[in-house]
Amino acid sequence: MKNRLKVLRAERNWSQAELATQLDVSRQAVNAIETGKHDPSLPLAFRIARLFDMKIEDIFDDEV
Amino acid sequence: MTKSDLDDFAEEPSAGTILLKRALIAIAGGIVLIFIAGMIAGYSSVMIKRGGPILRDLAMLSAMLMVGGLVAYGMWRSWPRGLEDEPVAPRVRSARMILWACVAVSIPIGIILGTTDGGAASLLSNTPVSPGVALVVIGLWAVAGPVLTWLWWQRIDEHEADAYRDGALIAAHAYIFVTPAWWMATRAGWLPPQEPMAVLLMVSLVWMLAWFVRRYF
Repeated sequence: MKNRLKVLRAERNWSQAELATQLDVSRQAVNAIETGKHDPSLPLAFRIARLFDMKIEDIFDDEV
Repeated sequence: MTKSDLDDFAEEPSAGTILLKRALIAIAGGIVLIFIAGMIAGYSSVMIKRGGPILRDLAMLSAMLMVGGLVAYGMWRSWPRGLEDEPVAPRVRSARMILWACVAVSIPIGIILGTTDGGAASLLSNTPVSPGVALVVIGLWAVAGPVLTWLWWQRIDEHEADAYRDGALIAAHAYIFVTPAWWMATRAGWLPPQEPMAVLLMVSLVWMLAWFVRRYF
C-alpha cells in the first residue's frame, strides 16, 4: 500500500526513530511502513492519522 | 514538499545492514584476534622453555602484539554506528529487556549442561543426566521460557509480531518437509536415526533467519 508517511515525517524533520517513539513502535516498523513492506493495522493507522492530524485515507492509498 | 526536497532528506541506514556488518566484523576480527592470541601464547611457551627471551623474541612478540592492536583498531574504526543514540519507544525498550532476560536464563542452562554429566561433549547428546541437573534445566526451559516468551509477545510491535509469525510458519514447513524425509532416509539406511535436538536446532535456525530477514530488511 502506498503512503505519504515519509513526506509527512520529512515535513516535520523527524527521524524514523523519533516518529517510532511517538507511535510506540520500533524504527524498523516505521521503515517497513514507509517502504511499503508492512501495511499497518487499523489501530496503528488511526494512531498515525491522529499524530499528523489527518484522515487515514489522506495518508494511505490502496489504489495501485 | 517537492520530490527533490524529499530526495535531500537523509536516507536512514537499515538496522539489518548495520547489525549484519557488526556480526561480520565481530566474527572475522574475532577469529583473527584469537589466531594472533594463539600465536603469541605458543611463541611465548616455546620461548620460556628455551630459557627466556632474546632480542629476536621480543621483536617477534612486539610485532604480533602490534598486528593484534592494528586488527582491534581496524575493527573499532569500521564498527558501524548509528543505533545507539536514537530514541526508543517504551514498548520496544520493554521487549528488549525481556530478550536480555531470556539470554540471562539461557546462560545458566548452557553452563549447567556444559559443566556437568559429561561436559560440553554431551551438551546436545542423548546421554543420561542426573535428576538434579534435569530438574533445574527443565524448570528454566519449561517454566521461565514460556513466561518470558509470553511477556515478550505482549510487548513487541505489530511489525515484529508479523516477522515472528512468518518465521514460525516457514519453520513449521521446514519441519514438515525435512522430518519425514529424514525418517524415510533412515529407514532406507542412508542416514543415522533422527536426533530430536538436531531437528530442534534446524527448525529454530530457520525460524530465526526468517524473523531476522523479515524484520530488518
